[in-house]
Amino acid sequence: MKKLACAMLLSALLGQGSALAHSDHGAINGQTALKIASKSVKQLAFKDFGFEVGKLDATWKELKDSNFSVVEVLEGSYIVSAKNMASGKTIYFHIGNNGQVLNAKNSNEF
Amino acid sequence: MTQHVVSSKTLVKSCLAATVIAALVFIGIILPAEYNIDPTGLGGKLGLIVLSSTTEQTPSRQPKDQPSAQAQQVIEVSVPAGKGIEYKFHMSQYEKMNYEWLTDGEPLYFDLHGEPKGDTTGYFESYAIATLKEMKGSFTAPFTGSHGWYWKNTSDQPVAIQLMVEGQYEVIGLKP
Repeated sequence: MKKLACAMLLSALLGQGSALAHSDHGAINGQTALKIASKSVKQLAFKDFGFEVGKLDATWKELKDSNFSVVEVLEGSYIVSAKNMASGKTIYFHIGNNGQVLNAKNSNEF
Repeated sequence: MTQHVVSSKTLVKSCLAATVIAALVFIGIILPAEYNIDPTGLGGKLGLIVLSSTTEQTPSRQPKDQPSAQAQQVIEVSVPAGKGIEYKFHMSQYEKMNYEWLTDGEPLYFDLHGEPKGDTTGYFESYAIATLKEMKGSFTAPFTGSHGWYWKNTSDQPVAIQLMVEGQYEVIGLKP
């Protein structure tokens, strides 16, 4: 019985360490969501990914970090806006907690 | 047959012992390995700090002679139909690059490789070879020299590539 109790405690201990060590892997934060949106704008100015915004024109490649903002934090995802000062247009990215760009639209209606 | 029963006192002792051990493991191993916090110095001695440095590179641990990481650069090149191009960067040993590239259409055969500086034998080391439309990753230069991609377009249309890089490097550019 003592051996069994020791084994259970040891398993719980090891499990706890593993859970603590990997508790936040895979989930992005707002800062990373901004970085992903910034990268995605450049990629969308290179190629049409099939989103509503289509292929963006070359002026979108010039966007600075200050042109991006997290406008909404949803459960499991972020909405990030990208404002093009040259054209006055704003597009919105729906980015999942795993970093995947789920959609890119001309309006914040996801 | 008698059944052993653990007394409450023993259980409390076991729980306390487990809690103390968990705290020691957390402070001595998990904090340095995962969060780069090493209050006991044990993480440094066991080499656990290296594990956390893959995600959180602090300037204080960067060698003095190592150049600071460059901000993200976006490079666009075109591979003519039926031809190959090579785009290279100069990197010193152990310098690191994060990269992401994609084509505007067809997948391309590529060879991500490095050639040691000053080598005249034609030796090169391949880090990745495949035929893909896009790829994301990172690599640490195993030696000082030129490192980068050879892309070959076997289609009858030119293929554009957008390459995003950040890290420690100097652009050499297209090689003839």
